[in-house]
Amino acid sequence: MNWADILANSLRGAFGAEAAIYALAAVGLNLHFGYTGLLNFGHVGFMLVGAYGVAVSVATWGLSLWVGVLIGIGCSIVLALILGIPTLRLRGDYLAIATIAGAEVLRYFYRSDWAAPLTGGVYGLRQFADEFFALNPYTGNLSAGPLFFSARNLWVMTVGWGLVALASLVVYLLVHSPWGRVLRAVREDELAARSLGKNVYAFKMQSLVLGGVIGGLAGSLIAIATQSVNPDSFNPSITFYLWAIMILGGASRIFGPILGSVIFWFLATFLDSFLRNATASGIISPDLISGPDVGALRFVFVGLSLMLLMIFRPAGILGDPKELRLDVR
Amino acid sequence: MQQLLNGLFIGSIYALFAIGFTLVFGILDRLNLAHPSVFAAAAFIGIELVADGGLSIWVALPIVMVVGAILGLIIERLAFRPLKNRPDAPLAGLISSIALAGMFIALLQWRYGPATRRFPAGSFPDQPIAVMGMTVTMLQIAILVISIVLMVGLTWLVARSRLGRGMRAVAENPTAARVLGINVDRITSITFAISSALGAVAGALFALNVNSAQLGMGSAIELKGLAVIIVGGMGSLPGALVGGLLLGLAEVFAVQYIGSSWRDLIAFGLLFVILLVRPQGLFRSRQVRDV
Repeated sequence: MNWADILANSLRGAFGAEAAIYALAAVGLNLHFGYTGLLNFGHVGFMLVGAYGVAVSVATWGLSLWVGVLIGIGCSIVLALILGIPTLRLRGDYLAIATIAGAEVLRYFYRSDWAAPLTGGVYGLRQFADEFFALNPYTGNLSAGPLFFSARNLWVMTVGWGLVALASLVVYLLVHSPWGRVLRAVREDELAARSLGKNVYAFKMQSLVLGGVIGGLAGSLIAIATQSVNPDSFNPSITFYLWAIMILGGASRIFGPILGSVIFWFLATFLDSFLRNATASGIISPDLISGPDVGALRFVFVGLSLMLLMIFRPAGILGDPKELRLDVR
Repeated sequence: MQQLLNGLFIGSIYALFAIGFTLVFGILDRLNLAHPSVFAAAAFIGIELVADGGLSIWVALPIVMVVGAILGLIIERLAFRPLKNRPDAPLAGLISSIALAGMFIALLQWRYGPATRRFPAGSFPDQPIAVMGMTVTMLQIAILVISIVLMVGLTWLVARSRLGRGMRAVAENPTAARVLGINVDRITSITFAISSALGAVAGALFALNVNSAQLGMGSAIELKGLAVIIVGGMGSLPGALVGGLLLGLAEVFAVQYIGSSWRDLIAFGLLFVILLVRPQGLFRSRQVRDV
């Protein structure tokens, strides 16, 4: 057992690019669920269109990367409108259904033969983000003891956490504005908000679009960081992780998604790293858990903690148990 | 005509799956998002019973049904019961049932690995039979018959039996039902068990029909099940039946006349259009707006 290694891995996980990207997506989800009470169970759909916005623009159409990011944002807005227009006038669970179905169908759509000339079908697209890495100001790798970050990694992390800070600031300013107060009124009691003359439908739609755009940006960043997109990597488990992150940190708290993501990725990488180390050094018999099972175990762990959180502390770490006792219908 | 038949066969599986979904919704006002994972689990368990246990499919199917019912009880116990007295129970149940579904799928992956599994060849007689110029297999007929028998049985149970009266009373008003001496907790558990048992049979039949079971089959059927219950009207049993058959037919004809890429888009298209023009579904059974 190499504890220094395990700890270093976990710290890398907690502050790495992936944690930043999930935190960013969770900020969007927090605007939906935490501040507006929208049940979005298809957040990965926004990430998918954001990612493919970049990938298709650069790899297929030969446009600039930055135009691609804008196209990704545009696609997120269109997706939010498609999901929101029929459902936001209805009970809350209709949005849940539309978003689950929407995210799933997008995955089929992007991998279908019909869309393959644009999206590369099941193989996806790769090598489209050189323009981003050409701007990398870091020349050398960072290595402090057992911690190691490559220069590319550092650049993605800087941009990622920068975007998280920016998005959190925007959300903070918005929810502390009159607009945000209406949003929270909608969450607490839609009927009351409507009786005060607020156009509830429009407010919900604006929140869905805005949170969706933040999710789309997170998707673009995933595509850029990994230099590849593949429809099957945008599967429902990402949405599931995002919910765990948001609930863990505390919904309707500005720092909720950030803290949630850091803790989530610390624990998840710790578990992975610990189990791999333990099986490799023979402390846990390889018959019980072998390499590929570790991923499955992580999933069990995430599911279990999300369920226990829902039962014992639905407000998460930062949340106020008295807030968010909402009756979304 | 041949296409019509194929649509009916696949549609009856969708209907069987969706009817379990909609049962919990109609009676308990909860959307059980762990239902698709029961579907997947049942397919893998059925294959294990037949391939490794050497059982006949006719023995394996009832066992799968019982396992499904047990999974339903577990779902109710872990994901829904601890939250039931909270004001936000329907919403919290959505999240915890998603969490439980994720765990189920992960446990399946742990036990069976990520590879596709199949029933051993010949576990079901599949020689084609020609009827009036159309070919059907024994398997397809069995699927249709099993689905229809189960769905008719369920409709009878809800409409006529003492248990069904209890269920409808709980659906109408749980508090009043409790006052009248109905054991609401027991009715809730039984509803979950029946719902999951039906979902489990649908999973095993689906795996027989396409002769494969994958970990992702749950999320594929989830999309279709959700489309079916929206089309039929959430909480409506006949709606789920009609919606399932309708979706099966629509898919088959879409493949025939437009192209196979469109098959998976049909479900979402149907869902979207119905939400837009008739959100209460074809068979209205509940209030769709609170305000």
